[in-house]
Amino acid sequence: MADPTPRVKLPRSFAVGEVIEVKTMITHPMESGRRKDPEGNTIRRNIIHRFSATFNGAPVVAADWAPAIAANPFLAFHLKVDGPGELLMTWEDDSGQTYQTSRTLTPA
Amino acid sequence: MSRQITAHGMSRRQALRALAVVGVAVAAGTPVRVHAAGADGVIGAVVGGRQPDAGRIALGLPADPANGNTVPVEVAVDSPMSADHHVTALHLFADGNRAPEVAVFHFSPRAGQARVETRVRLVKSQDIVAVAEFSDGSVALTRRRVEVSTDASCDI
Repeated sequence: MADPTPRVKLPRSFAVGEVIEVKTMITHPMESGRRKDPEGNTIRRNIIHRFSATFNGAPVVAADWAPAIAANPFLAFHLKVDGPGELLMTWEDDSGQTYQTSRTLTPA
Repeated sequence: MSRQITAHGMSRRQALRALAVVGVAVAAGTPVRVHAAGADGVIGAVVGGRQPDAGRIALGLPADPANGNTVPVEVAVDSPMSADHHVTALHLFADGNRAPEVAVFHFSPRAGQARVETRVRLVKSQDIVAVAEFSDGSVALTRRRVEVSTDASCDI
């Protein structure tokens, strides 16, 4: 598979104290562990089982995911922006890989 | 095991059928979590004997039958999200999937709103159940039916 690529969408502008919506998506097959290949062998489970978001190092939202989360997992969550800082998002899959991206938030 | 099943009010025939399902799951040789009491047992374990509030969760689901491979689900919990009063965890279940667990979201007050949107896999038309846990120890539960036109292409 192609390397999982995270995407993040933020509001164009926001003020200090505003609650903003953060839309995230990462390309990932979310292989459920219940499918078989053409030879009849079970395809090993490999899902993103953990997502977490921190702002200036402090936890905001985290998620534990099961195979019932659709491929290319999408998550929209909220963040109260109490000042400028770095929003760091991390995805972790069953193969032990972690994928990270961050955005610098500069409230108006 | 039989004592546990009869405690849930199953008849002998239901109990045998449940055991047959367990047998199939074991025979398949895949690591499948088998819940003796199904989705109700899994949800009950989260609620933990507390009396859930019915009115604090809004569950947004497609009005038209959805493709089971990717069904949008939006959950918003009514909470001030202050240091003293906030949602700590939000559990999402699909009661007709073989494994009813979908996701658990954990919140800090920094989220500002206990509101998430995601996309889930559903093997058939069924109920989506959301359970919120609050910092004061209370819980809320909302259940809504979603119709699926095309079942998820893999068995979840």
